[in-house]
Amino acid sequence: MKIVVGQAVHGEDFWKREDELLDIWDAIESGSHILISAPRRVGKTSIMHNIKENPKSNFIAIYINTESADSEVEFWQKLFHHMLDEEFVNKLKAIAKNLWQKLKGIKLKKITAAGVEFGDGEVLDYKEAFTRLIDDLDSDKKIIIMIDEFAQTIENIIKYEDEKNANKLLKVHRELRQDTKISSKVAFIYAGSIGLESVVAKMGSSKHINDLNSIKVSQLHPNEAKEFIEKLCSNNQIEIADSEIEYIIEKIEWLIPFYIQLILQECKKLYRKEKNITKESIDRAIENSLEHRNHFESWQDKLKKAFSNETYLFSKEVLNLISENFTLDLNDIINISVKHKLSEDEARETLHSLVYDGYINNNEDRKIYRFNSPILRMWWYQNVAN
Amino acid sequence: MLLTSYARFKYTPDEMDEKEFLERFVVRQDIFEDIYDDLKATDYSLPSQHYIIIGQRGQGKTTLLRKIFIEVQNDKELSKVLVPIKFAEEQYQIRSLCRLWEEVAEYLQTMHEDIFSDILDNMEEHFEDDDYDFKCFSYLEKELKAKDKKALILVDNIDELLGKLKEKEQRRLREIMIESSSFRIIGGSTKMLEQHFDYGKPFYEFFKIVKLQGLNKEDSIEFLRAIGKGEQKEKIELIIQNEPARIETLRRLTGGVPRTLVMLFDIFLDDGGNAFEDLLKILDEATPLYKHRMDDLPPMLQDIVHTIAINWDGMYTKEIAKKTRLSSRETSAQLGQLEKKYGIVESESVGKNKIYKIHERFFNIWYLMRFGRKKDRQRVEWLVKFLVSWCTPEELENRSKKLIELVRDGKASESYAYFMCEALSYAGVDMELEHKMNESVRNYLHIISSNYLADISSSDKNLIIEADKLFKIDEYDIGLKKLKKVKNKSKKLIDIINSTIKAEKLLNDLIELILEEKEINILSQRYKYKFARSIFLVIRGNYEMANLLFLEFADYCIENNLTLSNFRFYFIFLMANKQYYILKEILELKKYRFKDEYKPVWYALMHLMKDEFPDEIKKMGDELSDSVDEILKQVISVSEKKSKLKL
Repeated sequence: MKIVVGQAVHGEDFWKREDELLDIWDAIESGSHILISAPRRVGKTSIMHNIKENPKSNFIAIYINTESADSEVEFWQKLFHHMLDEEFVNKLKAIAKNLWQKLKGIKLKKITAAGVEFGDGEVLDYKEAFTRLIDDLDSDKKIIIMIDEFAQTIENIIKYEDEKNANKLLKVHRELRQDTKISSKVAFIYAGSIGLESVVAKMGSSKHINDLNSIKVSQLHPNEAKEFIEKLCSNNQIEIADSEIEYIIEKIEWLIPFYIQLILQECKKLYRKEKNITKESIDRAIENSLEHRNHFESWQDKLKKAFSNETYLFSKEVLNLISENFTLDLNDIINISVKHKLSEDEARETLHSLVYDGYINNNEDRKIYRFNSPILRMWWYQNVAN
Repeated sequence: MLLTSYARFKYTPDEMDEKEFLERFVVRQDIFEDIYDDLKATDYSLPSQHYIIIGQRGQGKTTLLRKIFIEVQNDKELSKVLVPIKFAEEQYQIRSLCRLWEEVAEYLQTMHEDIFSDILDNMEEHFEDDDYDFKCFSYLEKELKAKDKKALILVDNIDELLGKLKEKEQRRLREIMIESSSFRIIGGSTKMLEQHFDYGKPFYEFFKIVKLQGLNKEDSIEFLRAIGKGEQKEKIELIIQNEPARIETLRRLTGGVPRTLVMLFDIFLDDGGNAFEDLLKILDEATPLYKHRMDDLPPMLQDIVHTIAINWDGMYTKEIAKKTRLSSRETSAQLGQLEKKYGIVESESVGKNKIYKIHERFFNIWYLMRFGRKKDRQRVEWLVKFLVSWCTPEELENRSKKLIELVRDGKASESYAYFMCEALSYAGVDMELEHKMNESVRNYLHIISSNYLADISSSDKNLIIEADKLFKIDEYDIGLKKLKKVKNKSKKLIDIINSTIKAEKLLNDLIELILEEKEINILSQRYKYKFARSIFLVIRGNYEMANLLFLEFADYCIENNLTLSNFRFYFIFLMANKQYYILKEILELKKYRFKDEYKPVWYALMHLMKDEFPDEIKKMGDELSDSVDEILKQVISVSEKKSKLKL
């Protein structure tokens, strides 16, 4: 098991996540379509890779990332190209003969705004075309189509085309999912670092996704985190005492694999020189990890992109104050929102986004907000607030 | 230009012969191994970890990329899977993500024709397709997969390439990085160290950032050992064995940055100036980056960086506060920003205080060369510090002699001649030798019509000669300025300067005093100064000149029918300086009738010369005795003051 920071992990670098996988497989097997929701960096993509690489025996999984798609056409281009990709289709020969036989005969000619043109010259709209691929499929396996960054695609379409087209895509997906024939052969999994619920809610289109089974990916349990750290350390020839592992857990607090990997990467560097991991060296490793701006700056950048200027300035001030004082009372937050000319509703909605996207939480006391991750808090305090 | 850039390959590792390059790769082993181990342990059926190596200029990014390239190419196992692709440092043609993939294809088709005979041609067939942008990567990937290969893309200055990508392409790259296992990027970047660099783009999260730090003591020794050849090698070995402290000095001076280290070392070994030209060239190349770094700072921080950079050596917070006229508290806060947020300065604790200096020594060199005052030590301070710490007095002397020979034979580059001459002068060379070197270089710069001619400072010897001339014509202000410019001030010279400063003050006091005299007010300014200066010259012991000036002044007074009581001052000063004979001569000059007009002065003098002229004092009338006593008291008082002032 390697220390992987930033890149989604595969194969043996993947850390269990037994509960989430059980939930997802249960949902798939019960015929649901799924929305994996979790803040960024929690490990959604890695979970999807795991599903793709280790599907249950009667399933085939496809993973597509659609974040660069700016239009409905592009979305479907990606989906169809993936499903008819030579390499993917060839693989099916050994594991899903019926599916292979069905797909290998289909040739894509063109995908345009008008629809999908197949090799035989027939032009079908996207839904019809998708149905044609799946419909008379006497498949030996059910297909799981995992669409990563789907909410980003919706946002792109709103930005580069219009809300109407975004709505259309959501609607088509809903119709496909509600088609019992399709649903018996395909399971859709949507995920992304932007909350699909909040994007859709803003458009007033929540009804298009309320059929999805939402599965939360949460932080690791301290015991799991401990095991994870032990495994990573032993695989990387780092000797570490239990008390120090506990110290890391205490310091990281928000136990997502990403922070554990980030801190251990720095510990490894120090260990090479000092041959010893102490509490003091862990503190230094945390301090050093803050220098990896590529892993932190997007937290700020994302707010700039997602919010209007006033909302951005409001959320920045709130986060600045929390980073400085560790906690902030809801009353103070509402007070600040007035300064930024936001209504109470807008303030609450913004706050909700910050909670949803994994910046802050109010788990201990509903009225008191704090950073999820003390490491992000430190970074924010040093680099944004000051 | 007289130079051949023989040494330049040392600073551009891509130009070095492969065998030699590998022999010299002795530092940064751990970082190389980390990456290389990862390359070997990777499961290439899955998307891989990408890397960006960041570090100051000269830290070895390009070297590391080349090392990875060569080792992968020569590794029997790895090369079965990985095809290393190394782009040139500047990649102006890559303006879009598709262009990047096309460049990869072109490289493969050109360099690996046996495997990828038509990879680019196949892509080109689709150039006109509507969905080319969407599919260009898949064309490349398809060919790579068909040949069971993965592209290892090594790109220097990767920030520039990634910076050109449009928003959509950034998202696309992230997508590709999540999904594709067909390529792996290892980049190098200097700009990504800078505070202003924007890491917000989503794909940066997929890179592992490896930061190159300055070499430590052992690495520096190892490194210098590896770069020397033949005669040089022996010289380096001798220094390592006998004077390891020198290497430590060099390391501290350069912040352990390998290229800066080898550059200064080359300047030490090379006496023709090629190494120096290379240094200038590399400084030039760094200008856009360094300029951006300064421009990016708020004005107050610019001021603080300027103050520290110009000083070269570390400074206490208090000193910085004084120079920038900020409060100590404010200065501390700003320095904290410069250190933590911008990483431009670094600090060292000395007791309760902190000493700050510029973190990147090469940046500091650039700053001095660009913004240090001309004809001032500032500009060459870094070189002076280097020469002083690295050369014995004999070596400095030899270098100076060698420089004289080189310019005589026209074999030195103009910049080398100029900078080395300046630096050696400040480093402390014998005055005669310094003069000779200065004259030779000056002459050389004149012959080749060099712009540096206007910048070269005067030799110490010339400065002293000029100052002396100025003193003789009473231009103390200017003379003093010249003396202050002398680079290597002996204790004697410092004494002279100090006493001249005191004397100058006295002269000014005298002038003030004389200006206050009513009778003198009618005199023209010029003559007032003349009088004051004549007294001043007496103080300085330049009697001949003093008397000449005094008599000119006296002539003027006679011509204008002025009788002045103030003449008395002059006579008193002469007596206080024991110039009895000369005063006697003056007083006895018939033209002026001083002897009659200034009887108390005459008898005071006679009192002082009573051993020789015992009878003369007897002629004095009693009524004069009080006045004579008064004069004698004044004489004593002046000479006491004089000895107090050590004039």
